[in-house]
Amino acid sequence: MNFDQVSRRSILRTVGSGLGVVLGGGLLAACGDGSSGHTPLGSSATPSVAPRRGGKLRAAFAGSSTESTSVIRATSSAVDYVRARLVWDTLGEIEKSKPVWRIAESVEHNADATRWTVRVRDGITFSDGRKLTAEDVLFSLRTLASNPTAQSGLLGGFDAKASKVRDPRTVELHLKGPDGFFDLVLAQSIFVFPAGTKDFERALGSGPFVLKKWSRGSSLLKARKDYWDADHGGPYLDAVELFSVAEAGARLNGLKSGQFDYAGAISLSAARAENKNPKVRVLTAPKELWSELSLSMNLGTEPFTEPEAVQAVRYAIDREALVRSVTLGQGEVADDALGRHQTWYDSSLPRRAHDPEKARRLLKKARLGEAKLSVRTSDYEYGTLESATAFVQQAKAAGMAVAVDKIPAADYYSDIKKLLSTPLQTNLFHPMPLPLSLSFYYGSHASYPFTGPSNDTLDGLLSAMHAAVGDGKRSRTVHDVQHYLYEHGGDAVFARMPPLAASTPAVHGVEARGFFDYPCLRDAFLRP
Amino acid sequence: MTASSTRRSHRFHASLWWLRRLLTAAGTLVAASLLVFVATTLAPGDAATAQLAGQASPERIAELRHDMGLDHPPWERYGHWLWGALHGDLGTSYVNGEPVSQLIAARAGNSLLLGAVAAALLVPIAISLGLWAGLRAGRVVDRAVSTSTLTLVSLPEFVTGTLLVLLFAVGLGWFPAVSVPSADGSVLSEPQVLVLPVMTLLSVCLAQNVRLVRSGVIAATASDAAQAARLGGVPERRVVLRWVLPAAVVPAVPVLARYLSYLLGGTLVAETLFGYPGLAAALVNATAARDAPVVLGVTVLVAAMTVALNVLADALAASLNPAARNGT
Repeated sequence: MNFDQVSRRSILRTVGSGLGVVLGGGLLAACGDGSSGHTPLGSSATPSVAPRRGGKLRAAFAGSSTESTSVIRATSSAVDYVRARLVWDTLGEIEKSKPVWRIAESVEHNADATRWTVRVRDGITFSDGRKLTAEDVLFSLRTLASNPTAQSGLLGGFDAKASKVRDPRTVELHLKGPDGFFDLVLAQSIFVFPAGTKDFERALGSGPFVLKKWSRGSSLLKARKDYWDADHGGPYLDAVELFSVAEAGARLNGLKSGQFDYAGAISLSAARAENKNPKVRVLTAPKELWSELSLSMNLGTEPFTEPEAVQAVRYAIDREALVRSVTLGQGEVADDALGRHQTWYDSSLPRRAHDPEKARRLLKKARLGEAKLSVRTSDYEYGTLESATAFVQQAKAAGMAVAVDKIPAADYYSDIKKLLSTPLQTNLFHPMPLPLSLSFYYGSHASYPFTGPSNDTLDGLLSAMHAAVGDGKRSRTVHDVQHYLYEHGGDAVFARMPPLAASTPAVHGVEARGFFDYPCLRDAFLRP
Repeated sequence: MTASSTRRSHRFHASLWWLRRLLTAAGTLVAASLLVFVATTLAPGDAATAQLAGQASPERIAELRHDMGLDHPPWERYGHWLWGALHGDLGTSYVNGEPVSQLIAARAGNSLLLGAVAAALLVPIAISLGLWAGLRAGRVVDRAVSTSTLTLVSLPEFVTGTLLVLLFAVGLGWFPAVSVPSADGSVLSEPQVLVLPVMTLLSVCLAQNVRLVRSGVIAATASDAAQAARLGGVPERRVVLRWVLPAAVVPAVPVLARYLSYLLGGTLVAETLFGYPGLAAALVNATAARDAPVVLGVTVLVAAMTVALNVLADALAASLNPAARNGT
């Protein structure tokens, strides 16, 4: 990727919230952090609540000026993505870091994971009654890969030309190289629409709802009576009305005033304030879907060309204090590695201690003495500026003079060269399946290598990871990369923050299925 | 000089005055559009990269940039836009391909409706409260009106709006907290979405107008004309309506007019606070998306309204003071 040609907005959507749209893993439904006292929601947490048919769910999510009904732009805002999940089924979804297939009945690969065979489930129909076939699946994949979609980045290894339909229910996907984790890619927002679709704004879907009315700001969807998977769950609701509301506070106020039943993405402080409100149920993402805060050090720039400087920063961070102040006590400590609580995560990675004296000694050893640093940050998302400000005091105790270089939110991602060459900056990583995030942020082929250039060792480990097949080997190779980054990487991942939402107590069955901020309303129902 | 030559001279000066004003107005609009275009061009990123979600290949970004015409030199793009604008075509949005004029029409209608409702309430409320307080100057009513209006104006707009939401939406549940109409409705079919934004706008505009009317009423009440009328046995109600009210309202008219212009020009804080689908909110969104045609269209429209109002004000002043029109 040519970084010169990627804009602030692109990165905002990608690194900020957009990646969360395309990449993810887990299930909403989970209880909140035990300490927060948040009420659980969803099938796994409220098994005693029997689904009830009928009613209209009114839900508010963040929108943007790019809102549209186009299937190839469905990931541009939260409200678009939530709507897309109702209109178009996907090949699969992520639950607890693993794919659960929907349109795909099975997904298998050859010995070296260069060819993947997708068997399409029988009996799926589009909303006009047309049968969904392998032809539609291949057309959708080719369309998503060849258009400027968020999915296209994930499908970079997909060989669209060589791939073919073997029979009406089987499609053979060829890759440009081995990728044992391509199943995770296929479970990421691969919406399926009819072959030959030209008007993507009005593409038919096989999902549980049909879009009846849309305007920039609100949309109305009606349930399908003939949904192919109705025997196993929703749609229970008659209709869903989605509202696009930019401000998190306004969404919550709308919920509290009875205007909405569900409000996506609320703030940590609002969650704390509403914790005891019986009319509001605060929902917390399962831990594998929490966001992660990091101080990213570029290993190609001074002073982080010296490994001691990197370690000094890591030891200077008081993670417990940052969790208390930045996440308002609702988060948890992270230990310089992404993806905790995912099945891929190596739980043997040791805790990183807070040891300002050791940090001081390391700086002295590297002959950095009273190191003067500047941490580039912005308030484009909660947590980054707050972390940087808090770190200044912590660094002082370790003999580092750190200044906060606050960039206006609108400009923070506009200069990609600067972004990828800044010695020290804050980052908020949105959740995605760990093998995909490792490839995305680290190595020579990374899209956004915030920690600077790669080396042969890291590239070798990442290649081995992609070549691995079978769960055991795949896990081992992911662990190898994690261990390397823990020891030699440039990210000091210090805290994990829970994404939050809110609903009335009557709302049930809303599930993350990979994306907490863009939940799946397929099985939602209302039961006061 | 004969009477006819004097009339010809006046007509000539009047024509010259209008020509000068119109040329200045046109120049102002072109300058404003150029300024906005330069600003959008110099801003980091562009609409093509903004749409690609950071994951498309450089070739695809270039293709999209080419499709949008963003690979042409800036002067050429501006010229193309200006030529279209002069022919009534404001172009299409980079973000969603929608004609800018269509987008502006829908949003401007909503903004105008919000501003008009607020303006329609502002005038009678300001006059009534000002009159009420002025006629009871120094008494409890006067102090209550003055204190409450001053309190309202001293609060920032977003604070007032938030407090209104907490009271009337969250607390009492009377009005919606978010002013987005439902999918099968509109602002007109769901007028309740206007209530809180209008109340917020009134809170901003009311205080100064009430105080102006109040002080005018106090002065007019003590005027010789009013006193003479009272001595002549004219009932107090008639004194107020005939002498006090007109004398009190006239000084407030220019200020009221300024507030009306503010209300009708799109009210950013109220629109963004309540998520109201108006022109100001559209401008904010378009700026963030680097959607230059929409940014240009909206700003030129607002600039045109301002310029038109100023030309009309100049014309009014000139008609009242011919010396100004003649430049003498």
